[in-house]
Amino acid sequence: MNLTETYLLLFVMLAVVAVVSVLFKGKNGLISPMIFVAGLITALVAGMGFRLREVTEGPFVYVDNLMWVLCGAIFVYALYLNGTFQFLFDKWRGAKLGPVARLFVLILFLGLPGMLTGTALASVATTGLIVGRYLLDKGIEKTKVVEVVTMGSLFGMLLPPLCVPAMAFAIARQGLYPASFEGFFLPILVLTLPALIVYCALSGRRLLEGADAEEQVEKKGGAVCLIPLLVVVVLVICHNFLYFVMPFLGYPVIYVIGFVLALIFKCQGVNALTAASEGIRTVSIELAMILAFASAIEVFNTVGVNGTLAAQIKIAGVNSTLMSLVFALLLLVGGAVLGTPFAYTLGAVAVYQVSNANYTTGSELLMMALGVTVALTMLLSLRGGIADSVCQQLGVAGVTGPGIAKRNVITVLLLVVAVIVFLCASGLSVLMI
Amino acid sequence: MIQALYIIYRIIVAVLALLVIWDIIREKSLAHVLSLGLISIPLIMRALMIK
Repeated sequence: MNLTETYLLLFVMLAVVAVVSVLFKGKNGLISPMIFVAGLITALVAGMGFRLREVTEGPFVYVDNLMWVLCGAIFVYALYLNGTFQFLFDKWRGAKLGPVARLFVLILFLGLPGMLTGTALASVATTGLIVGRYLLDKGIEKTKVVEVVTMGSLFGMLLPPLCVPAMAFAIARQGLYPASFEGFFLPILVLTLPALIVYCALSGRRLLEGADAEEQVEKKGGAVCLIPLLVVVVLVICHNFLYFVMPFLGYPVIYVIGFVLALIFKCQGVNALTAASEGIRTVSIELAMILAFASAIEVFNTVGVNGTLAAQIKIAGVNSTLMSLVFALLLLVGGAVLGTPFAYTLGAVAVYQVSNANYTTGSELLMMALGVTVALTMLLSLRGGIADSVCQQLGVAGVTGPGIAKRNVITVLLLVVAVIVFLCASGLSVLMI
Repeated sequence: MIQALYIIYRIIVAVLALLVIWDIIREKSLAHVLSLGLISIPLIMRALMIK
Protein backbone atom coordinates (compact mmCIF):
# COMPACT_ATOMS: atom_id res chain seq x y z
CA MET A 1 0.00 0.00 0.00
CA ASN A 2 1.33 3.45 -0.84
CA LEU A 3 1.01 6.57 1.26
CA THR A 4 -1.67 8.14 -0.91
CA GLU A 5 -3.94 5.13 -0.39
CA THR A 6 -3.19 5.24 3.33
CA TYR A 7 -4.14 8.89 3.64
CA LEU A 8 -7.25 8.32 1.51
CA LEU A 9 -8.49 5.51 3.77
CA LEU A 10 -7.64 7.50 6.88
CA PHE A 11 -9.53 10.46 5.43
CA VAL A 12 -12.59 8.31 4.58
CA MET A 13 -12.85 6.96 8.13
CA LEU A 14 -12.25 10.31 9.85
CA ALA A 15 -14.49 12.20 7.43
CA VAL A 16 -17.44 9.84 7.98
CA VAL A 17 -17.07 10.13 11.77
CA ALA A 18 -16.63 13.93 11.57
CA VAL A 19 -19.74 14.36 9.41
CA VAL A 20 -21.77 12.08 11.67
CA SER A 21 -20.53 13.95 14.76
CA VAL A 22 -21.73 17.24 13.30
CA LEU A 23 -25.02 15.82 12.01
CA PHE A 24 -25.93 14.09 15.27
CA LYS A 25 -24.92 17.15 17.32
CA GLY A 26 -22.88 15.27 19.88
CA LYS A 27 -25.35 12.45 20.57
CA ASN A 28 -22.55 10.02 21.40
CA GLY A 29 -24.93 7.08 21.66
CA LEU A 30 -25.78 7.48 17.98
CA ILE A 31 -22.25 8.33 16.85
CA SER A 32 -20.56 5.19 18.26
CA PRO A 33 -22.53 2.76 16.05
CA MET A 34 -21.71 5.01 13.10
CA ILE A 35 -18.00 4.44 13.76
CA PHE A 36 -18.65 0.76 13.08
CA VAL A 37 -20.41 1.76 9.85
CA ALA A 38 -17.46 4.02 8.97
CA GLY A 39 -15.20 1.00 9.49
CA LEU A 40 -17.26 -1.08 7.07
CA ILE A 41 -17.16 1.75 4.50
CA THR A 42 -13.38 2.14 4.90
CA ALA A 43 -12.83 -1.59 4.35
CA LEU A 44 -15.05 -1.43 1.26
CA VAL A 45 -13.12 1.56 -0.12
CA ALA A 46 -9.90 -0.36 0.51
CA GLY A 47 -11.23 -3.05 -1.83
CA MET A 48 -11.49 -5.65 0.93
CA GLY A 49 -15.22 -6.19 0.66
CA PHE A 50 -17.73 -6.27 3.48
CA ARG A 51 -15.49 -7.07 6.49
CA LEU A 52 -17.89 -7.70 9.32
CA ARG A 53 -15.43 -9.93 11.18
CA GLU A 54 -12.73 -7.29 11.72
CA VAL A 55 -15.24 -4.69 12.74
CA THR A 56 -16.72 -6.93 15.43
CA GLU A 57 -13.47 -8.63 16.45
CA GLY A 58 -11.84 -5.53 17.94
CA PRO A 59 -14.38 -5.01 20.73
CA PHE A 60 -13.79 -8.57 21.92
CA VAL A 61 -10.52 -7.37 23.51
CA TYR A 62 -12.56 -5.37 25.99
CA VAL A 63 -14.81 -8.14 27.30
CA ASP A 64 -13.05 -8.24 30.68
CA ASN A 65 -13.19 -4.47 31.01
CA LEU A 66 -16.85 -4.47 30.03
CA MET A 67 -17.43 -6.83 32.95
CA TRP A 68 -15.50 -4.57 35.33
CA VAL A 69 -17.43 -1.46 34.36
CA LEU A 70 -20.86 -3.11 34.13
CA CYS A 71 -20.48 -4.83 37.52
CA GLY A 72 -19.19 -1.53 38.97
CA ALA A 73 -22.20 0.31 37.56
CA ILE A 74 -24.62 -2.25 39.00
CA PHE A 75 -22.98 -1.91 42.43
CA VAL A 76 -22.96 1.88 42.25
CA TYR A 77 -26.61 2.06 41.24
CA ALA A 78 -27.52 -0.27 44.10
CA LEU A 79 -25.77 2.17 46.48
CA TYR A 80 -27.75 5.02 44.91
CA LEU A 81 -31.10 3.26 45.23
CA ASN A 82 -30.50 1.84 48.71
CA GLY A 83 -29.83 5.30 50.12
CA THR A 84 -26.09 5.00 50.83
CA PHE A 85 -25.19 7.97 48.65
CA GLN A 86 -27.96 10.07 50.20
CA PHE A 87 -26.69 9.07 53.66
CA LEU A 88 -23.14 10.15 52.75
CA PHE A 89 -24.41 13.38 51.25
CA ASP A 90 -26.40 14.18 54.40
CA LYS A 91 -23.15 13.76 56.34
CA TRP A 92 -21.52 16.31 54.01
CA ARG A 93 -24.42 18.73 54.47
CA GLY A 94 -23.81 18.79 58.21
CA ALA A 95 -19.99 18.77 58.08
CA LYS A 96 -18.41 21.96 59.46
CA LEU A 97 -15.39 22.41 57.20
CA GLY A 98 -13.72 25.27 55.41
CA PRO A 99 -14.85 25.95 51.82
CA VAL A 100 -11.79 24.30 50.26
CA ALA A 101 -12.08 21.11 52.33
CA ARG A 102 -15.84 21.17 51.82
CA LEU A 103 -15.47 21.29 48.03
CA PHE A 104 -12.75 18.61 48.13
CA VAL A 105 -15.02 16.22 50.05
CA LEU A 106 -17.95 17.08 47.76
CA ILE A 107 -15.90 16.36 44.63
CA LEU A 108 -14.76 13.02 46.09
CA PHE A 109 -18.39 12.19 46.88
CA LEU A 110 -19.50 13.23 43.40
CA GLY A 111 -16.67 11.28 41.83
CA LEU A 112 -17.16 8.06 43.81
CA PRO A 113 -19.32 6.32 41.15
CA GLY A 114 -16.88 7.54 38.49
CA MET A 115 -13.93 6.09 40.38
CA LEU A 116 -15.60 2.70 40.80
CA THR A 117 -16.81 2.44 37.19
CA GLY A 118 -14.25 4.60 35.35
CA THR A 119 -17.04 6.54 33.67
CA ALA A 120 -18.27 10.11 34.13
CA LEU A 121 -21.91 9.38 33.36
CA ALA A 122 -22.22 7.01 36.33
CA SER A 123 -21.49 10.02 38.56
CA VAL A 124 -23.81 12.31 36.62
CA ALA A 125 -26.75 9.90 36.96
CA THR A 126 -26.34 9.16 40.67
CA THR A 127 -24.36 11.45 43.00
CA GLY A 128 -24.55 14.23 40.40
CA LEU A 129 -28.32 14.15 40.56
CA ILE A 130 -28.35 14.24 44.39
CA VAL A 131 -25.85 17.13 44.60
CA GLY A 132 -27.26 19.06 41.62
CA ARG A 133 -30.84 19.04 42.88
CA TYR A 134 -29.74 20.03 46.38
CA LEU A 135 -27.61 22.96 45.23
CA LEU A 136 -30.32 24.20 42.84
CA ASP A 137 -32.86 24.04 45.70
CA LYS A 138 -30.41 26.09 47.81
CA GLY A 139 -30.59 28.81 45.18
CA ILE A 140 -27.03 28.44 43.89
CA GLU A 141 -26.56 29.71 40.32
CA LYS A 142 -27.13 27.02 37.71
CA THR A 143 -23.72 27.69 36.10
CA LYS A 144 -22.02 26.91 39.41
CA VAL A 145 -24.16 23.83 40.02
CA VAL A 146 -23.44 22.39 36.57
CA GLU A 147 -19.75 23.19 37.03
CA VAL A 148 -19.51 21.37 40.38
CA VAL A 149 -21.26 18.26 39.03
CA THR A 150 -19.30 18.29 35.77
CA MET A 151 -15.91 18.69 37.45
CA GLY A 152 -16.83 16.11 40.09
CA SER A 153 -17.79 13.62 37.38
CA LEU A 154 -14.62 14.36 35.39
CA PHE A 155 -12.36 13.90 38.41
CA GLY A 156 -14.29 10.78 39.37
CA MET A 157 -13.66 9.29 35.94
CA LEU A 158 -9.96 10.19 36.12
CA LEU A 159 -9.29 9.07 39.69
CA PRO A 160 -8.33 5.42 40.38
CA PRO A 161 -9.02 2.56 40.39
CA LEU A 162 -10.72 2.68 36.97
CA CYS A 163 -10.70 5.24 34.16
CA VAL A 164 -12.41 3.98 31.01
CA PRO A 165 -10.56 6.18 28.46
CA ALA A 166 -7.16 5.35 30.00
CA MET A 167 -8.17 1.70 30.14
CA ALA A 168 -9.19 1.76 26.48
CA PHE A 169 -5.77 3.01 25.38
CA ALA A 170 -3.76 0.89 27.82
CA ILE A 171 -5.49 -2.32 26.70
CA ALA A 172 -5.22 -1.41 23.03
CA ARG A 173 -1.45 -1.05 23.00
CA GLN A 174 -0.02 -3.33 20.38
CA GLY A 175 1.83 -6.57 20.79
CA LEU A 176 0.90 -7.12 24.40
CA TYR A 177 -2.43 -8.93 24.17
CA PRO A 178 -3.96 -9.97 26.44
CA ALA A 179 -3.13 -6.71 28.16
CA SER A 180 -4.74 -5.64 31.41
CA PHE A 181 -5.35 -2.41 33.30
CA GLU A 182 -3.34 -3.33 36.38
CA GLY A 183 -0.70 -1.19 38.06
CA PHE A 184 -2.20 2.13 36.98
CA PHE A 185 -3.62 3.07 40.40
CA LEU A 186 -0.71 5.26 41.53
CA PRO A 187 0.17 6.79 38.13
CA ILE A 188 -3.36 7.99 37.46
CA LEU A 189 -3.67 9.23 41.04
CA VAL A 190 -0.42 11.22 40.66
CA LEU A 191 -1.68 12.61 37.35
CA THR A 192 -5.04 13.75 38.70
CA LEU A 193 -4.61 14.66 42.36
CA PRO A 194 -2.62 17.93 41.94
CA ALA A 195 -5.26 19.34 39.58
CA LEU A 196 -8.03 18.29 41.97
CA ILE A 197 -6.36 19.99 44.94
CA VAL A 198 -5.70 23.17 42.96
CA TYR A 199 -9.28 23.19 41.66
CA CYS A 200 -10.69 22.96 45.20
CA ALA A 201 -8.27 25.59 46.51
CA LEU A 202 -9.19 28.05 43.76
CA SER A 203 -12.93 27.41 43.54
CA GLY A 204 -14.09 26.35 47.02
CA ARG A 205 -15.21 29.79 48.16
CA ARG A 206 -16.62 30.82 44.76
CA LEU A 207 -18.75 27.72 44.25
CA LEU A 208 -20.05 26.88 47.69
CA GLU A 209 -21.06 30.34 48.83
CA GLY A 210 -24.62 29.92 50.09
CA ALA A 211 -24.24 26.19 50.74
CA ASP A 212 -22.81 26.35 54.24
CA ALA A 213 -23.01 23.47 56.71
CA GLU A 214 -26.52 22.90 58.04
CA GLU A 215 -27.20 22.72 61.76
CA GLN A 216 -30.04 20.23 61.57
CA VAL A 217 -29.83 17.51 58.96
CA GLU A 218 -32.50 14.86 58.94
CA LYS A 219 -30.73 11.58 58.33
CA LYS A 220 -32.36 8.49 56.94
CA GLY A 221 -30.87 5.12 57.87
CA GLY A 222 -27.73 4.26 59.79
CA ALA A 223 -24.02 3.88 59.19
CA VAL A 224 -24.57 0.17 58.58
CA CYS A 225 -25.33 1.00 54.93
CA LEU A 226 -21.66 1.94 54.52
CA ILE A 227 -20.54 -1.68 55.01
CA PRO A 228 -20.82 -2.68 51.29
CA LEU A 229 -18.84 0.39 50.21
CA LEU A 230 -16.16 -0.17 52.85
CA VAL A 231 -15.81 -3.85 51.93
CA VAL A 232 -15.43 -2.97 48.25
CA VAL A 233 -12.90 -0.20 48.98
CA VAL A 234 -10.80 -2.58 51.11
CA LEU A 235 -10.97 -5.33 48.47
CA VAL A 236 -10.07 -2.92 45.66
CA ILE A 237 -7.07 -1.59 47.62
CA CYS A 238 -5.96 -5.15 48.43
CA HIS A 239 -6.42 -6.10 44.75
CA ASN A 240 -4.14 -3.24 43.71
CA PHE A 241 -1.49 -3.28 46.44
CA LEU A 242 -1.69 -6.58 48.37
CA TYR A 243 -2.18 -8.89 45.41
CA PHE A 244 0.74 -11.05 46.57
CA VAL A 245 -1.03 -12.06 49.79
CA MET A 246 -4.66 -11.90 48.74
CA PRO A 247 -6.21 -14.49 46.41
CA PHE A 248 -7.15 -13.02 43.02
CA LEU A 249 -10.80 -12.04 42.78
CA GLY A 250 -10.87 -9.35 40.10
CA TYR A 251 -13.17 -6.34 39.88
CA PRO A 252 -16.31 -8.22 38.73
CA VAL A 253 -16.29 -10.54 41.75
CA ILE A 254 -15.44 -7.67 44.13
CA TYR A 255 -18.34 -5.59 42.79
CA VAL A 256 -20.76 -8.52 42.85
CA ILE A 257 -19.86 -9.05 46.54
CA GLY A 258 -20.53 -5.33 47.09
CA PHE A 259 -23.83 -5.56 45.20
CA VAL A 260 -25.08 -8.48 47.31
CA LEU A 261 -24.04 -6.65 50.50
CA ALA A 262 -25.81 -3.49 49.25
CA LEU A 263 -29.03 -5.47 49.01
CA ILE A 264 -28.62 -6.57 52.64
CA PHE A 265 -27.20 -3.46 54.36
CA LYS A 266 -29.42 -0.62 53.19
CA CYS A 267 -31.14 2.60 54.24
CA GLN A 268 -34.18 1.93 52.08
CA GLY A 269 -35.62 -0.88 49.99
CA VAL A 270 -33.95 -1.61 46.67
CA ASN A 271 -35.05 -3.77 43.75
CA ALA A 272 -32.04 -5.79 42.61
CA LEU A 273 -33.22 -6.04 39.00
CA THR A 274 -33.93 -2.31 38.73
CA ALA A 275 -30.52 -1.48 40.20
CA ALA A 276 -28.77 -3.83 37.78
CA SER A 277 -30.64 -2.71 34.70
CA GLU A 278 -30.47 1.04 35.42
CA GLY A 279 -26.80 0.74 36.38
CA ILE A 280 -25.96 -0.84 33.04
CA ARG A 281 -27.93 1.86 31.23
CA THR A 282 -25.91 4.68 32.84
CA VAL A 283 -22.56 3.44 31.50
CA SER A 284 -23.72 2.02 28.16
CA ILE A 285 -22.87 5.04 25.99
CA GLU A 286 -19.31 5.39 27.31
CA LEU A 287 -18.72 1.66 26.91
CA ALA A 288 -20.05 1.72 23.35
CA MET A 289 -17.48 4.42 22.56
CA ILE A 290 -14.54 2.21 23.58
CA LEU A 291 -15.98 -0.67 21.57
CA ALA A 292 -16.20 1.63 18.56
CA PHE A 293 -12.58 2.65 19.27
CA ALA A 294 -11.54 -1.01 19.27
CA SER A 295 -13.36 -1.55 16.02
CA ALA A 296 -11.59 1.45 14.44
CA ILE A 297 -8.18 0.06 15.49
CA GLU A 298 -9.01 -3.28 13.91
CA VAL A 299 -10.13 -1.59 10.69
CA PHE A 300 -7.00 0.58 10.49
CA ASN A 301 -4.89 -2.53 11.05
CA THR A 302 -6.79 -4.58 8.48
CA VAL A 303 -6.70 -2.05 5.67
CA GLY A 304 -3.02 -1.30 6.34
CA VAL A 305 -3.30 2.32 7.47
CA ASN A 306 -1.56 1.74 10.81
CA GLY A 307 1.20 -0.46 9.41
CA THR A 308 2.03 1.83 6.49
CA LEU A 309 2.07 4.95 8.64
CA ALA A 310 4.25 3.24 11.27
CA ALA A 311 6.74 2.17 8.60
CA GLN A 312 6.89 5.68 7.11
CA ILE A 313 7.36 7.24 10.55
CA LYS A 314 10.16 4.77 11.28
CA ILE A 315 11.87 5.53 7.95
CA ALA A 316 11.55 9.28 8.55
CA GLY A 317 13.16 8.83 11.99
CA VAL A 318 10.57 10.94 13.81
CA ASN A 319 11.36 11.50 17.49
CA SER A 320 9.02 9.24 19.47
CA THR A 321 8.35 11.74 22.28
CA LEU A 322 7.59 14.51 19.82
CA MET A 323 5.25 12.18 17.97
CA SER A 324 3.42 11.29 21.20
CA LEU A 325 2.98 14.99 21.99
CA VAL A 326 1.69 15.77 18.49
CA PHE A 327 -0.83 12.92 18.65
CA ALA A 328 -1.98 14.07 22.12
CA LEU A 329 -2.50 17.58 20.72
CA LEU A 330 -4.45 16.21 17.75
CA LEU A 331 -6.65 14.16 20.07
CA LEU A 332 -7.31 17.15 22.29
CA VAL A 333 -8.12 19.56 19.46
CA GLY A 334 -10.06 16.99 17.39
CA GLY A 335 -12.07 15.90 20.43
CA ALA A 336 -12.75 19.46 21.54
CA VAL A 337 -14.04 20.50 18.12
CA LEU A 338 -15.82 17.35 16.93
CA GLY A 339 -16.53 15.44 20.12
CA THR A 340 -15.11 12.52 22.08
CA PRO A 341 -16.12 9.79 19.54
CA PHE A 342 -13.97 11.57 16.94
CA ALA A 343 -11.07 11.69 19.42
CA TYR A 344 -11.44 7.95 19.95
CA THR A 345 -11.39 7.34 16.18
CA LEU A 346 -8.24 9.42 15.81
CA GLY A 347 -6.93 7.62 18.87
CA ALA A 348 -7.13 4.36 16.93
CA VAL A 349 -4.23 5.65 14.83
CA ALA A 350 -2.44 7.32 17.74
CA VAL A 351 -2.46 4.22 19.93
CA TYR A 352 -0.71 2.13 17.27
CA GLN A 353 1.85 4.73 16.26
CA VAL A 354 2.79 5.80 19.79
CA SER A 355 3.05 2.28 21.18
CA ASN A 356 5.08 1.14 18.17
CA ALA A 357 7.50 4.06 18.38
CA ASN A 358 7.98 3.52 22.12
CA TYR A 359 7.93 -0.26 22.09
CA THR A 360 11.35 -0.72 23.68
CA THR A 361 10.94 1.88 26.41
CA GLY A 362 7.52 0.67 27.52
CA SER A 363 4.37 2.38 26.42
CA GLU A 364 1.93 1.75 29.27
CA LEU A 365 2.00 5.22 30.80
CA LEU A 366 2.04 6.88 27.39
CA MET A 367 -1.17 5.05 26.61
CA MET A 368 -2.65 6.11 29.94
CA ALA A 369 -1.74 9.74 29.20
CA LEU A 370 -3.35 9.56 25.75
CA GLY A 371 -6.46 8.08 27.38
CA VAL A 372 -6.57 10.95 29.86
CA THR A 373 -6.31 13.36 26.91
CA VAL A 374 -9.44 11.78 25.41
CA ALA A 375 -11.11 11.98 28.84
CA LEU A 376 -10.34 15.72 28.88
CA THR A 377 -12.21 16.13 25.60
CA MET A 378 -15.34 15.08 27.48
CA LEU A 379 -15.01 18.38 29.34
CA LEU A 380 -13.71 20.54 26.50
CA SER A 381 -15.95 19.22 23.76
CA LEU A 382 -18.21 21.69 21.98
CA ARG A 383 -20.84 18.96 21.66
CA GLY A 384 -21.79 15.88 23.64
CA GLY A 385 -19.57 16.50 26.66
CA ILE A 386 -20.18 15.81 30.35
CA ALA A 387 -21.69 19.28 30.85
CA ASP A 388 -24.42 18.53 28.27
CA SER A 389 -25.35 15.35 30.14
CA VAL A 390 -25.40 17.23 33.46
CA CYS A 391 -27.65 19.95 32.00
CA GLN A 392 -29.98 17.30 30.61
CA GLN A 393 -30.06 15.44 33.91
CA LEU A 394 -30.77 18.56 35.98
CA GLY A 395 -33.15 20.12 33.47
CA VAL A 396 -31.11 23.30 32.97
CA ALA A 397 -29.71 24.84 29.78
CA GLY A 398 -27.03 27.20 28.60
CA VAL A 399 -23.98 25.88 30.46
CA THR A 400 -21.28 24.41 28.24
CA GLY A 401 -18.14 22.37 28.83
CA PRO A 402 -15.82 24.93 27.18
CA GLY A 403 -17.40 27.63 29.39
CA ILE A 404 -16.60 25.59 32.50
CA ALA A 405 -13.06 24.95 31.22
CA LYS A 406 -12.65 28.70 30.63
CA ARG A 407 -13.53 29.43 34.24
CA ASN A 408 -11.05 26.77 35.37
CA VAL A 409 -8.14 27.38 33.02
CA ILE A 410 -5.51 26.65 35.67
CA THR A 411 -7.03 23.27 36.55
CA VAL A 412 -7.33 22.25 32.90
CA LEU A 413 -3.78 23.44 32.19
CA LEU A 414 -2.50 21.45 35.16
CA LEU A 415 -4.11 18.31 33.79
CA VAL A 416 -2.61 19.02 30.36
CA VAL A 417 0.83 19.57 31.91
CA ALA A 418 0.48 16.31 33.84
CA VAL A 419 -0.35 14.51 30.58
CA ILE A 420 2.73 16.06 28.92
CA VAL A 421 4.93 14.97 31.84
CA PHE A 422 3.66 11.40 31.55
CA LEU A 423 4.21 11.49 27.79
CA CYS A 424 7.80 12.68 28.18
CA ALA A 425 9.07 10.97 31.34
CA SER A 426 9.31 7.23 30.84
CA GLY A 427 10.97 6.99 34.28
CA LEU A 428 7.55 7.45 35.87
CA SER A 429 6.88 3.77 35.20
CA VAL A 430 8.33 3.15 38.72
CA LEU A 431 4.88 4.21 39.93
CA MET A 432 3.36 1.09 38.39
CA ILE A 433 3.25 -1.16 41.44
CA MET B 1 -9.56 -21.59 42.99
CA ILE B 2 -8.93 -20.87 39.31
CA GLN B 3 -11.57 -23.40 38.29
CA ALA B 4 -14.08 -21.80 40.68
CA LEU B 5 -13.27 -18.32 39.36
CA TYR B 6 -13.66 -19.57 35.78
CA ILE B 7 -17.19 -20.75 36.57
CA ILE B 8 -18.06 -17.60 38.56
CA TYR B 9 -16.82 -15.32 35.76
CA ARG B 10 -18.79 -17.28 33.18
CA ILE B 11 -21.95 -16.96 35.28
CA ILE B 12 -21.32 -13.21 35.72
CA VAL B 13 -20.83 -12.64 31.99
CA ALA B 14 -23.97 -14.65 31.17
CA VAL B 15 -26.04 -12.68 33.70
CA LEU B 16 -24.64 -9.40 32.34
CA ALA B 17 -25.51 -10.45 28.78
CA LEU B 18 -29.08 -11.27 29.84
CA LEU B 19 -29.41 -7.96 31.70
CA VAL B 20 -28.16 -6.02 28.68
CA ILE B 21 -30.62 -7.84 26.41
CA TRP B 22 -33.42 -7.13 28.89
CA ASP B 23 -32.39 -3.46 28.91
CA ILE B 24 -32.49 -3.36 25.10
CA ILE B 25 -36.05 -4.69 25.10
CA ARG B 26 -37.25 -2.13 27.69
CA GLU B 27 -35.26 0.85 26.45
CA LYS B 28 -37.01 3.69 24.63
CA SER B 29 -34.02 5.84 23.64
CA LEU B 30 -32.51 4.82 20.29
CA ALA B 31 -29.04 5.99 21.38
CA HIS B 32 -29.13 3.68 24.38
CA VAL B 33 -30.58 0.78 22.39
CA LEU B 34 -27.72 1.04 19.88
CA SER B 35 -25.09 1.36 22.62
CA LEU B 36 -26.51 -1.59 24.54
CA GLY B 37 -26.66 -3.56 21.30
CA LEU B 38 -22.94 -2.98 20.73
CA ILE B 39 -22.16 -4.03 24.31
CA SER B 40 -24.27 -7.17 24.09
CA ILE B 41 -22.32 -8.73 21.18
CA PRO B 42 -18.99 -9.44 22.94
CA LEU B 43 -20.81 -10.41 26.15
CA ILE B 44 -23.01 -12.97 24.37
CA MET B 45 -20.02 -14.32 22.46
CA ARG B 46 -18.03 -14.72 25.66
CA ALA B 47 -20.96 -16.26 27.53
CA LEU B 48 -21.32 -18.84 24.76
CA MET B 49 -17.51 -19.15 24.48
CA ILE B 50 -17.59 -18.31 20.77
CA LYS B 51 -14.15 -17.11 19.71
